[in-house]
Amino acid sequence: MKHILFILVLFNLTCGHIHAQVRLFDAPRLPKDTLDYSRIRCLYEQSVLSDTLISHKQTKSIMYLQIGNEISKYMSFINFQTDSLISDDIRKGNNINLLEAIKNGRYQMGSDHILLFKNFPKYKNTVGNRIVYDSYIYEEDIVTPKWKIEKEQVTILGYSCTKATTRFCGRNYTVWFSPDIPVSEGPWKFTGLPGLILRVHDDKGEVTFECTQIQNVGWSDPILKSVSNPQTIKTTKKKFYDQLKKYCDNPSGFIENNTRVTSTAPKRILPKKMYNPIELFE
Amino acid sequence: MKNVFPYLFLLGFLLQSFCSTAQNTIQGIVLDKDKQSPLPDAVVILKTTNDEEILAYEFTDSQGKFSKNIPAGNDSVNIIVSMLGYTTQSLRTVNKSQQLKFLLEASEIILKEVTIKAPNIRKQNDTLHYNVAGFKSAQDRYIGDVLKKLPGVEVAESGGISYNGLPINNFYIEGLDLLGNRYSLATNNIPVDAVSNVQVIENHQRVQALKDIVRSDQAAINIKLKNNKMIKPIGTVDWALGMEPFLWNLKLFTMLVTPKAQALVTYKTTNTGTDLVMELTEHPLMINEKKPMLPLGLFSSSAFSYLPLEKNRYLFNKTHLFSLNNLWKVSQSKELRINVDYAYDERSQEIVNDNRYYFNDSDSVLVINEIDKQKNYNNIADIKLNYTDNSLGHFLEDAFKLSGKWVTENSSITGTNNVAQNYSMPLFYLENSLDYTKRTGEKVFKVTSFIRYSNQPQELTVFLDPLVYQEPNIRQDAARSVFYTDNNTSWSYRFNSKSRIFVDFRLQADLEDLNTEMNFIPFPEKQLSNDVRQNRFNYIISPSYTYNNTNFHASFSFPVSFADLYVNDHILNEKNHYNYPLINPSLSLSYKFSELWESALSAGYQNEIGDVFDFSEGIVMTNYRHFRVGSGIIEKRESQNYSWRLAFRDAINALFFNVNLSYRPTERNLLSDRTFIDRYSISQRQEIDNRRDIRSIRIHAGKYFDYLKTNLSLGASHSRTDFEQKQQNVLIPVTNKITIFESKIDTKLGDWGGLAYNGLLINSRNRFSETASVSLNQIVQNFSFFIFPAKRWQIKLRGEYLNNDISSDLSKKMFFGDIGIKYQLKSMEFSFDYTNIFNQKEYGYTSFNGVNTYSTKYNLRPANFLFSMSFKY
Repeated sequence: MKHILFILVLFNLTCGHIHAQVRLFDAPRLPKDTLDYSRIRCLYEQSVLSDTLISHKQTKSIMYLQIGNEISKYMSFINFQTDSLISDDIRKGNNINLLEAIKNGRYQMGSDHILLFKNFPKYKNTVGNRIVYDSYIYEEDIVTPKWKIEKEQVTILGYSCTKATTRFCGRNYTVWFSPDIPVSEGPWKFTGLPGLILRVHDDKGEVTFECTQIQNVGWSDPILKSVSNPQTIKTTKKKFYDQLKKYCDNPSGFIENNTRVTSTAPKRILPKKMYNPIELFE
Repeated sequence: MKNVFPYLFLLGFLLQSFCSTAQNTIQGIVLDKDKQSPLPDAVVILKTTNDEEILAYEFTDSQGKFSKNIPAGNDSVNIIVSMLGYTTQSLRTVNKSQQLKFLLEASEIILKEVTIKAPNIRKQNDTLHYNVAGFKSAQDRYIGDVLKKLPGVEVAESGGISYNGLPINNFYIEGLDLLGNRYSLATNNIPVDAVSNVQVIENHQRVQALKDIVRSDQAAINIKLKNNKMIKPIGTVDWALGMEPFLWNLKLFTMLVTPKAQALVTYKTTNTGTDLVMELTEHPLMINEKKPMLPLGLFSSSAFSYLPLEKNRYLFNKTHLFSLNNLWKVSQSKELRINVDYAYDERSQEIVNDNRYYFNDSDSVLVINEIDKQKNYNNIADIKLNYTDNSLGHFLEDAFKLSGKWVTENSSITGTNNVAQNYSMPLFYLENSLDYTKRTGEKVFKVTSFIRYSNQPQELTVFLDPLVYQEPNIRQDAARSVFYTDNNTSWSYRFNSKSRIFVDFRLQADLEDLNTEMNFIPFPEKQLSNDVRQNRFNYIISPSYTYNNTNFHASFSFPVSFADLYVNDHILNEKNHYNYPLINPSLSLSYKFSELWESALSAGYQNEIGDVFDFSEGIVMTNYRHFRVGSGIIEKRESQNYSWRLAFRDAINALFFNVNLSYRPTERNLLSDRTFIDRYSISQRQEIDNRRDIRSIRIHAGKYFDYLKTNLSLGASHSRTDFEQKQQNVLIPVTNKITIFESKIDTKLGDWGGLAYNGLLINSRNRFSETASVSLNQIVQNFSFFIFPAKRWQIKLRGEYLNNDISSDLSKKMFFGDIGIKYQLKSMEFSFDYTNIFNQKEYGYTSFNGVNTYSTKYNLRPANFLFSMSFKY
């Protein structure tokens, strides 16, 4: 146990509850867990300022966006792959030894744990995230940014893109979207433009998204419910961010008091973290 | 009741213009074409017609419907409807409230790039974008070839560009003014393949600080290059050799356009009859700004006349031209420019003249027949330095120019007279113009200063054949030096959102010295030399008022000036001081009825006084048989001018139309009397009140027919001049009428060929008594037929038909033919041209000057061929 915690803290990642006797995963099964089929898949490089002290450290993640007819799913590509592996392992009845899998690198964890379903349930978003070891899930109303379209154009990945600006979730954003890809989609919670958003940056340079790949899906590619964890905590957006703030302000104290993980490892004082989620409240 | 319709019509226009601030609602439904079922969440984008700007967007609802308001500013919109899994549809439509239906076809390819065929002309606010690819034909080589074909744009013989009847006021390459008023260097050299768009910016005011204050009726042209023709240098290398006589042509051209700097360098040499010096023509830019004219030459050499004929038929030349132009964008608003030009031009011409001078109401005629063999040598060198700082708050420009022009001309004349003349007519000048405008909020302060010093040490020698004449050779030295300065400061205040006053104080000084001296004249009673100094000072105060509304603009100015003139004649030992108060009020109104129609009216009164030649009481020889004498009386001119202009431009339908009417009566106190003594004539000014009335109408229409790929341009003009002429002591009233019809058609017949036609009819009528009147026609027709028989091959057939009346019962018909064949590779071109295949040898025409007629015959270039090769990068 000590060993596991050490690894988790070291990577600053969490991967679910780790009580061995609990049924760990509920793998999605077709077709019940298929929410939609993707038409376009994209990869984005997401970069968020995570520490101003260590020379403006940016946390970079490769994010994966599956765009279906009605629903889209946005999550870390590494987590997506891990999810697939876990689902596969569960389906095959393989004995899942998470510790081993992480240790030998079979299961990897991304640096951003967001799991975002847009328009699921209808007219709402479902957001999943984690703080340390705990998974949270909440629903929120879809908020479409109020876009201002500008004249400027650039070419990104061979697509002619138009500039648009907005103030959204506490930040001023400039995005570039391509009307040649007629889906009102984008990375993270960005939506509402007449074309796919391929580049996003805020005015402070703290948050950027850059599309690195667009794939045209010609086969049946399901958008699955993620590997669900029965211990996932249902919450609200506000409560989730309150928790996150608490964790960042005092990570050690938070782990001690709020998580359901009991650790036998010697207590270590973790330094305060910078609270800078993509979404800010005004 | 019938009379109501014009008003309704007008009301319609007014309503249309009011509506233009409103919003239009575009509604529609999007359905699957096969299933006829509604398509929800389809993306509907409303764009400007150039696809540069998204005006609005909407997604269809569950019934596949959408509705969107858009401002009515653009005259048409592109509607793009797309949905994943369906082929994107785009529709260009007039910007008005309307109901639309889109049937989308399911398609396999989801991420397909949408390409909409760019329209040939599109309008965006005040800018028209002409898509060069749409107007270009395979035979066009330089951007000037395409400019001629753009509807609404006219290119004069001199290379000067007009847009809808008014000359352009700036010529930009990628937004930067590299060449100033010598823009023919660009139009004749920039390869058409390098240009993506020609933009016409209407009502262009280049001074940013004055943008919403001083309105301009004129437009500017901006050449947009293709993206891959910027940053790296582009250029052409051409050479050609031919016979008969030995012909050569070499042309090196390179241009570099980057966001920070531009350079254009060219060297050319030829003797094929191409007029290279024309590329250095300084085209007038600001029609409302009166720049002082350069002093004219002191002699009237027969110089070089332009004929309504392709220049390479009659121009016998040997020319070198070098031009270097550099521009650096020092910062966002600051630009530094240098232009260096040098040209050497040698021309020869053989002219047969038949000049008839009519006396005593045409009862007796003096006929002079002569053959004039001329040779001109011109050296032109110019350096221009220009610094501009053009920002919203202020404008600073300093332009310095150093120029030298050495012109010598030798002519040898046989026939009625046997003489030779040598002219030496250099002109040097140095000028600097400083312009500063400061804007603080709504207040504008402006200072300008212009200084020019010019010097003309000229010389004319006439050699008389000693076997025929007893008189000695005549030599005249003449020198004129002029120092001219014009300084002005002006303030402008806005007193409400639409009205503004300007107060302008101006000081002009014109200090001139005129010296002429002759060794001998055939008229013993005349004074042989002149030595006159004239110092003239003008003090001007000019208040003006402007009113600017969105559609209506008015300005009225009332300059009051006081001219102070000191004349010192060193030979007669006379000193005189004159002063005159002069007023020159002017009014101009312009009204924009709608997006399409515009009209302008202007009226003015000018009060002017003459120049230093009025005081040159000694005789001045202008050529071997013509002399001029001043009267010692100053000329006073009072003129009025009225002009009206109506312009129509519909960019969507590519239809342009303009009418210009003008009337200009002038009254003067002096009239020249021309007397013939022996073989000489003398013009002497006499104090006779006389009047000259000029009336003119000019109509021009241009239309591009998209489906026929044809551009049609039609022009007509008529002018009538009434004046009095005095010859051999008889006062003769003269009426001169000139009517011109012009048509141009340029059409693409398909991938295999094209056709171009130019037709010109000039009718001139001259009446100088109740009975004596002459009417002469001049017809020029040009056909060019291009065939592209195979890929890369091009055949050109050209015919030129002329029919000129030499007199009322004699006319001269001519037909010229040319053949050319061209083989084109991606960056190489080989061509072979056989010009003047019918070997026409001479050209003749007749012109009038009042009661006198001049019939002239020119020698033409014989049949010749030219093999050329060109390479571009």
